Amino acid sequence: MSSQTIAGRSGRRRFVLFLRPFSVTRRLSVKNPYKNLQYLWPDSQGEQDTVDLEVLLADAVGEKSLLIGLGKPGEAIGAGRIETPDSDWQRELLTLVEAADAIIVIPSMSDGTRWEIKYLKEHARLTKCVFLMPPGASDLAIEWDEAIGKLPVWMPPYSNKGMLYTVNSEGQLQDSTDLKFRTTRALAQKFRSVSPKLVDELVTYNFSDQLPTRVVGSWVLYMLAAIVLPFVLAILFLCLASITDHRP
Amino acid sequence: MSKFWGLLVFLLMLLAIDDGVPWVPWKLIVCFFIIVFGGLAKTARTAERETKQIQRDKEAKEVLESLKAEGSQKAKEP
Repeated sequence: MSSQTIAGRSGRRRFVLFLRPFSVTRRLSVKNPYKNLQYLWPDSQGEQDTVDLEVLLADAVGEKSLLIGLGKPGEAIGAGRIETPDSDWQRELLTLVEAADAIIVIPSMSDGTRWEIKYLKEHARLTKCVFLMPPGASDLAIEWDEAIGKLPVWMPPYSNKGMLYTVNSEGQLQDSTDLKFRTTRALAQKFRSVSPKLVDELVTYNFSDQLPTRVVGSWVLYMLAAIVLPFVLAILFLCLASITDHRP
Repeated sequence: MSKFWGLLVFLLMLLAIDDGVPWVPWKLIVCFFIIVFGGLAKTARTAERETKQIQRDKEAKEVLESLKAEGSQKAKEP
């Protein structure tokens, strides 16, 4: 990756800010798209069946920029975390909000997130945001539905499919799509579909993680294994046989 | 690597070699190691993600510090 890709026009590191209530940390479990083709792909072996959505967001953003959130460094895999003192977090957050290339927000009634959304609206930063309704998080559904109408932005009723949406500067719905995805490519495309200008250059995916690539790759791999392995084993056998022969 | 790979390699070995040598000792040892390494793959992936996360946390802190420095520099300018 070239430094030009990482750096923005002003020469600084490009980043996407991740605003969410701390209560969702490690609670955004989704089906792991890195596990596609299951055991037929060697790289899937080390993967769990589910993965936290934040991991996927960090990976999608991390290719060309960086996903940043407030929190305790090391508390979870995902956004790069910045620890701030309680007395100073709002000031530091504002610095990040102003400099961020885009902002991903999980709306919530938590004091911090409510303050953040209010600030974004009052300072005309809502158009920089992509709002995210986590998919398959039924334990968050009640919390989500309670927040509808109490925040200064449009919020749909909770759906298990999840949702990505953008709003205008007044907080009214602009564009939306569900968040059902099976591959990292589909996730990147969902982001692009709701906010092509904002995240087009920031959200990416790896070609090698996609199902068609893995299907073709696994066939090649197995054919190579079937050709090469007998030779390797034959050599191994000959070595062992020669050792056995030399014994008195 | 996993049990699946262990089994696959084992079957390939049986198919590829008909050496008349009793297969129990060394072929089973090879399969055992393949299965053990399969278990280690998960640990390796976790470790890889943790290392990446340390780097992300570090970079995030650097971004904020550079923004702060930029801000204070601007404030000093007339």
